[in-house]
Amino acid sequence: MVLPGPLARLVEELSRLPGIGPKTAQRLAFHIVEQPQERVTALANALVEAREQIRTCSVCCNLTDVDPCRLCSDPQRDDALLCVVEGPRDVMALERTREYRGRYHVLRGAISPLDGIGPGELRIRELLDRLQSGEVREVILATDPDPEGEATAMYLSRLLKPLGVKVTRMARGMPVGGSVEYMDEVTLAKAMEGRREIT
Amino acid sequence: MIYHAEGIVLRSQPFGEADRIITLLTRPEGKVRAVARGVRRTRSRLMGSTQLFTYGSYLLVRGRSDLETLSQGEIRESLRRLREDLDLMAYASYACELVDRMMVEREPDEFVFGLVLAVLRQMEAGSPPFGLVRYLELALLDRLGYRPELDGCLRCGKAWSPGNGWGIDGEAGGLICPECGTAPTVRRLSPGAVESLRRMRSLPAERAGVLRFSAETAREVRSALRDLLDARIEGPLKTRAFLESLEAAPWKEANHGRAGSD
Ligand SMILES: [Zn+2]
Ligand SMILES: [Zn+2]
Repeated sequence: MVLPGPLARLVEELSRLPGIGPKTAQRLAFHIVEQPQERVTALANALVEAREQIRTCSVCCNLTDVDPCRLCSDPQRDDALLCVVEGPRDVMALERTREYRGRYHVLRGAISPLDGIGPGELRIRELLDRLQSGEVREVILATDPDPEGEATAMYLSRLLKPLGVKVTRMARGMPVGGSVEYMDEVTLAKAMEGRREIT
Repeated sequence: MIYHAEGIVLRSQPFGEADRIITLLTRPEGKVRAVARGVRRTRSRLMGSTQLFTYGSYLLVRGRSDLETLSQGEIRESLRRLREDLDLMAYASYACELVDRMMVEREPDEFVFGLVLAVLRQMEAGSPPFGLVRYLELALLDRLGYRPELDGCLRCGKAWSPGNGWGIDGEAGGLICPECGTAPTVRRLSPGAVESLRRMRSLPAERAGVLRFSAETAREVRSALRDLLDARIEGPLKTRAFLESLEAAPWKEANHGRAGSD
């Protein structure tokens, strides 16, 4: 069966989303066109508004609707601690532990030579700028304990050590090869507790 | 078809919510790609054996798609230093990308499997990674039908004898003598660089870790092999940029004298 033009276009757009194969895209598309008009309008508006209103925080590089973001402008947080993570979802995961009261810096990725992602593709320049003020006493590297996260941590450690700031690596209370965003709260809290200085 | 295979993880990419697609260089089936389901979940049994650069034993299922399913995996040698040292990670990534790019899927090659394993093992054991990847480059060219001419001039057949004015033509695939070497594609090489290339070829893979070059020879050998490879591989190698960015990293001062590096 040949899909009617508009439906085919919807399938095509949906199948560009991560983790959505052609079959899933078709299933979603057929589901969407059978919904009441107002539901679909709400979905479309949510998509457009999210894209329009979400930007990168000029301080921590996290995604936000206000700049600086709420975590950066919260006076209760400790400016001396800076936790470096790969992505926005890692911030959410760490916030769920309620263990950590410092600030964050979001790299928006990890070094992955095989994917052509080097230090230049990450928000490292912004991190260095933040350290200029001298307020940060400790940088906690909380990248994933997989090869890309480890490479990123090693790279940052070499880059930051000469600046005289203390650099620690979140402890491996977590399985090697895992990913911060999928860890349960207890494991994450333990890992944060047992962080160590990186050599 | 279900089969057991020794393999080396050349690549491991996140796929969907919790899966990974790994590229394995296997001994019996050559390069294959396999999906490892649920491997990014905390308690997955497959997590360890699907780590990049791991040498393991795998149980694979081949269906009708071009993607196998990884059913079981067991680590033989973790080769963990390759993941825990930034420079080694960069070199090992380069080695794996090169193999991935040059090998065709599902074409077994016992020799190449042994070669890659020997190179990664010696890298893990602390041999200079620079020489090991140069060795790998030449050995892959030799094995895969692009054997560069290093015994004499490609054009006139004049036998190599150490002297100035010789060069390498990557496009044509070998040495060019001083008399024939007028084309702009010919890169001049010092006699020492040519001898280094020839010596590399005479070494068995298990001994490639002994290779060391002076800084100047290292640069020449690297450029010569790059010319030869670029004529055979389409598009740039992604890992090369990272290796270069490490060499130019802010914490690297003038350490050109260090054996094996440049
Ligand atoms: Zn912020
Ligand atoms: Zn000639």
